[in-house]
Amino acid sequence: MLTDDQLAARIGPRLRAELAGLPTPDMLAALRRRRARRARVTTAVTTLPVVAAAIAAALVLNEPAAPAVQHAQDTAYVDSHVTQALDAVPAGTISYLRMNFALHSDVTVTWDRGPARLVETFRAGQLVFKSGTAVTSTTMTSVYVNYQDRTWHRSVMRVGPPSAAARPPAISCDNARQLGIPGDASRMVTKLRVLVSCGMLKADGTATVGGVTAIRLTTPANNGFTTAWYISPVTYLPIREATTWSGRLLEENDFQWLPPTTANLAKLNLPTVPPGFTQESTSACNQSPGC
Amino acid sequence: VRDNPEFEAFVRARSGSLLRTAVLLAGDYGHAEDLLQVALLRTARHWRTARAAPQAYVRQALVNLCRDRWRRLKARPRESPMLPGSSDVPMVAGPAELGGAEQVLQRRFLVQALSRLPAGQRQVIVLRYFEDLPVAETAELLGISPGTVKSQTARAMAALREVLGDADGINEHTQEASNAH
Repeated sequence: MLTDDQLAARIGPRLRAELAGLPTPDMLAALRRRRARRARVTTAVTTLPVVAAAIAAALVLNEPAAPAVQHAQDTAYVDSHVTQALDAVPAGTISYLRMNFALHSDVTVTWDRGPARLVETFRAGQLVFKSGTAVTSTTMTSVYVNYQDRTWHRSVMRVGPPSAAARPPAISCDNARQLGIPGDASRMVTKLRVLVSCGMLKADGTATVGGVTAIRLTTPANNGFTTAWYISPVTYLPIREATTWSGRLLEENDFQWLPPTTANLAKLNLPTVPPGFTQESTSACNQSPGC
Repeated sequence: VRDNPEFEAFVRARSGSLLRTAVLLAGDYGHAEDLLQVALLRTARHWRTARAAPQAYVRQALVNLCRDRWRRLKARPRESPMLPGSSDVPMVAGPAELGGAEQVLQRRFLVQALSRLPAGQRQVIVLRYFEDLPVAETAELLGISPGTVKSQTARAMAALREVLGDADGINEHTQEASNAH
């Protein structure tokens, strides 16, 4: 018999699973049809076509302009909104980062929430590595699964204060542009925040990212390298970062900001080891890429 | 709608999840789609206000529209707002290993159980456990006190247990569904 808490924890995921196959109609097209129908009815019932036209015009004019996209060339406006949006990200938000490397076929997907993290690496569309980290007040457990070699490794470490050597370098105005991709959404956001506060990004119009018109912020070219950040015009949070060298795309990093729902938190569970995989010792694991 | 890329981006990103919430609140797919369209048009009209938190704005509009609809239906007793076992919600495609309409139907048993709850209880369950809203936010959205949210939740949980029979079954089905995805 489940307790109320257990039952409550299962209701959300179960409902999501039951509705997972629900078709999603093209809502924008439906809204336009609905508005058009409404406009036709308005025209039909009115005795004065001029008045009908005025009503229709008023309906159109009432559509607010898109302030974010209007300000796509206004660096100060965009910078201030990006900073506000980054400050307003609720604690506990799960950051999702998908790193696409243009020079080879690897794709790395990371779910990150504080010290808890799950990383999957795909090569030519196949899952090749998966690693997860879970942290309690006293221990940090990591599980690493190598799907190519059919091996796995688990380590449990006592948690202590990080040594200065283990800490990543602080991001500042001096090094923000030189620092490579940290591969960690929170570090990337810190880097964006520094770039914005140091005035290193310039609002550079809009671009379409995943079907969404995003605001583009770019850094001036540095030894041929250029970085562009694409900002959601709705949330002002980054949705993509792309690095190019002499006009050639090197890397593309896509972000999502996920609420800590039960289903999203489940993404951070330590990986399960498929049956038949061999456990490796720490030394053998250290020889393995990504371990 | 046409000239507001910000709103369009929001609709593209969120209409799927909002439709699912609308289906659970309204109880059938057709009405849910209709109510969501109206809620989105209201949001577009008030975008200057809504743009700070558009999802919350649409959610509030949906709750209000559903409430209006139930009130109208109360005055017309021949119609039922929530038909138990309604097949209006399109069935999800069952995986090959499950197969068979019966098992596919089983996969929607919690949606059906929810549809048998009174409107108030259904709203708190949808908002608290499907939308993952805290008690205070649920209370604010529904215009009731946090205490009422808690008592409605407790009643709904008791009713769901009764409807579902063996509550442990939800675990098996959840596991089954997550394995299937």
